[in-house]
Amino acid sequence: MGGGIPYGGSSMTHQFPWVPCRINRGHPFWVSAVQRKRARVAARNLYVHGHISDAGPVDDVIENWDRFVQASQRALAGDVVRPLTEADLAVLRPAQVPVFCEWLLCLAVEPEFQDDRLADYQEQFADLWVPKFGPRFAAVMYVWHVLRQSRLIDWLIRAFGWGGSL
Amino acid sequence: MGRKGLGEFETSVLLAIVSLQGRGYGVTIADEIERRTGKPVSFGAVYATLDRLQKKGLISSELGEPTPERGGKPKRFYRIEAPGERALREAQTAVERMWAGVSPTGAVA
Repeated sequence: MGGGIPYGGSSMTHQFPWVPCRINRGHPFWVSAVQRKRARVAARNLYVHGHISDAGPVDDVIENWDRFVQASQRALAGDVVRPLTEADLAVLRPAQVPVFCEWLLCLAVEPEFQDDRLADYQEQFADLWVPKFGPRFAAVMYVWHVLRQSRLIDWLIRAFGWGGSL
Repeated sequence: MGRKGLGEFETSVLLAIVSLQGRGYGVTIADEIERRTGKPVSFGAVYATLDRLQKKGLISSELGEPTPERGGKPKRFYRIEAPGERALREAQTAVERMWAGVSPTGAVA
């Protein structure tokens, strides 16, 4: 305890041996993932804080992505030197969690905790795992973390020390 | 609390909850632990630990307001309870007692 949590590599490296032991956060792949995450968070904050005032009521915008995009383009016109391309929009659009993953999470979590946890996992999936690993491996990560939080696997990992300090 | 004290990761999660002052939910708690320790943490492990701590009665949780950016789903904010504070104090005391008069180089005062 006094020395903090002992570092045994990334927690992921204990779980997936094929993931490189130490993820270099200065690597261009990681940097671009973080930049994309920040871009999406910034766009979301722009929207949430009401700067896109002509986009209409919040619920309408959530249900109608195209209106949000148009409003974003207008709002960002001062900062963006070119119109948003499809690639830009793909980055801004939150990645969708595969239905199977959400179904698995609902099986693993008690009903009263499902709503908030689905949203937490969606946030982690769209903001971190997809930019970092791509959609396919992000789904694998999703499934792994759902399984990891189950009582049996948690107990096994702690009992056998497979997760290092985790 | 049970007969066993806090585990190392449980202590980290509790400290993150305390530092976020009742505004910590799963994602921010994981981020806070990563930020403070500088090491990646497993998202699933954070939830497993939160569930365990809540079952032990060390923390409690309440749902926040649903927000549109989360698709109308609320956040679950975690807060430390009196037994949790007691457990943290005990853990701190135990560590301080172990370190008393000892330096990392092995010299004993």
